[in-house]
Amino acid sequence: MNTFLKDLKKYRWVLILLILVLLLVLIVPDTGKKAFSTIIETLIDMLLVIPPIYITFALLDVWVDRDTMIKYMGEGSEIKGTFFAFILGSIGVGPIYIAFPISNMLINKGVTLHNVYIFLGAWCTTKITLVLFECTSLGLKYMLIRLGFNIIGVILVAWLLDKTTTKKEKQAIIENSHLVV
Amino acid sequence: MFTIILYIIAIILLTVSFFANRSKTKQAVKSAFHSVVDSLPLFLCILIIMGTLLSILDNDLISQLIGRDSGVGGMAIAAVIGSVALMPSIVAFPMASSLLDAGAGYGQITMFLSTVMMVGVLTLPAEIKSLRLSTTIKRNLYFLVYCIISAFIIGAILS
Repeated sequence: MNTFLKDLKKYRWVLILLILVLLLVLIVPDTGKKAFSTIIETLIDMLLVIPPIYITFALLDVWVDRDTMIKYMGEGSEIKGTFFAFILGSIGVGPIYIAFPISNMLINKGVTLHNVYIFLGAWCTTKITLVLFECTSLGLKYMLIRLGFNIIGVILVAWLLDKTTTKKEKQAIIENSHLVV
Repeated sequence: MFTIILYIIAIILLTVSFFANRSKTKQAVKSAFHSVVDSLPLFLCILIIMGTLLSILDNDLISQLIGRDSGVGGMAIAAVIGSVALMPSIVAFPMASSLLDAGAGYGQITMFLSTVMMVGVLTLPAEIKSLRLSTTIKRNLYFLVYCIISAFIIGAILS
């Protein structure tokens, strides 16, 4: 009974938000109903995508040991690490907030913070699914231009973040990721 | 369609892993399950807010805000909307496409798309949990600045 209540407590904001949406349905029915159906649709999409993605990355976690991971994306991997991080991020599927727990797993495994940021940056901009979809919606030329800018941007921001984060902060992030996972 | 490919890949990997090492596979499945369950409350919150925002910020409203001749003001609004809004690319790209048809400039569209993808105000709680406050703020800020600069450049190139 106790653990059930504890679990319920984690969902308290979800319940509050749901009540607010319900109020919206009552007060402004059109917007409310549209919000509700959008939420359900996105929920189904998200629930469909999360299991295979998390299982794939969990298998990665379990099969690739720390030393191998560090060799390819950890301290001292330089360009190789950036390259692999980019590839890893691009094969992602789903919104960026799905990638945050995965980035935790990577930090735990010894991937440098710089490469984690490349991973996240690639996840949100150069995902293969995204690139293909952009091409069909907005044209090849536009997609290529933005892709070029995105790649530059991701590399730049990751480098900048790496340079402007103190060693202490980096250490704190690493320790924090042990707690989260 | 992509989801089917995703599942096929995941099932193949899972099966191979299962025959290679049963206990490792069990460990992976357990940890995946835990990740899902742990992140669910936060994801649901993000989802609910996002769904509501999307229903308010529909195509018509956005067209009015960043449509034809909206200029620098339109860029600013696009940046704000994009940073706060969180939408799957399945929604964002068609929206950008119809905005273009409605007369929005490439600059505004790029600003909108870039900020939607790279900067996330809604996802701050999830990000802070994994990456701590100061780095989260820096990441979003740096990307925002980059989005602004690149949107102006792309807008100038394509106009």
